[in-house]
Amino acid sequence: MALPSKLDPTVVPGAKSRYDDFVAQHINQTLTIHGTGSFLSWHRYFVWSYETALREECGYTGYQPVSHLH
Amino acid sequence: MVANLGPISPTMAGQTKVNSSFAHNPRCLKRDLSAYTASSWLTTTNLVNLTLGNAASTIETFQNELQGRFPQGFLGLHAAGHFSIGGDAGDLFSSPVDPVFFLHHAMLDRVWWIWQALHLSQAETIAGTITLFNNPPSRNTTLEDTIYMGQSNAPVRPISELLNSLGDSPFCYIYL
Repeated sequence: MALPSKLDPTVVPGAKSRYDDFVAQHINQTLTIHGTGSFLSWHRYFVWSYETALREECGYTGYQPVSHLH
Repeated sequence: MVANLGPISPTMAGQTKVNSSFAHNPRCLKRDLSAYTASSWLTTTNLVNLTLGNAASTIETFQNELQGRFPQGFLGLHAAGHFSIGGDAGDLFSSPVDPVFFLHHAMLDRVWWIWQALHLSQAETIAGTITLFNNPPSRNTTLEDTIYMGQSNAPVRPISELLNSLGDSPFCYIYL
């Protein structure tokens, strides 16, 4: 949340932090990544990329926690 | 915490959508916890059906059961997870403004990983078309179709490289 966005602010004015960059990517592709053949692999890559950024850019030494649904 | 993007398609009373998809709309994150949603669809029965039961027979049945069969009033683990948190998490577009998104999708990924482990001969199959619930009707997604992430740590890759969590290019993980 503290690191600034890497996106062009004239294109994505709502993206202020690196966290927002991930939100913006999801917004941008929403209509082609849900209810499609790419749903599972896109979201797998998305969560992995987020976890990788946390570790490589933010110094997080853990792993993406999982919320158990049952 | 502050959410900067969205809402695009709000599902909670009192939320107003932004005029353009990437507008800056700083506000406090909202949730709207729903015990009804959780107890109806976030169940062990549902999970067992997905991994071992009838819904587990092919990647197509698995995926459809996971994402939900809305015309039948069945939300499934994916949608029910989003709507049991509610508020911003219930927005199809801007749901990742709530960090619980990543915990939820990590769990869904784990369920898929479990299904793959239990169905090794089908682990690298996919199903579905390139439009949302095939609306409007379109061609099937193929393993050569590429996934774009827009992050420097995640270059464009074909789906075929993103199916094996131990494929090493790029994934090297398991769930405990």
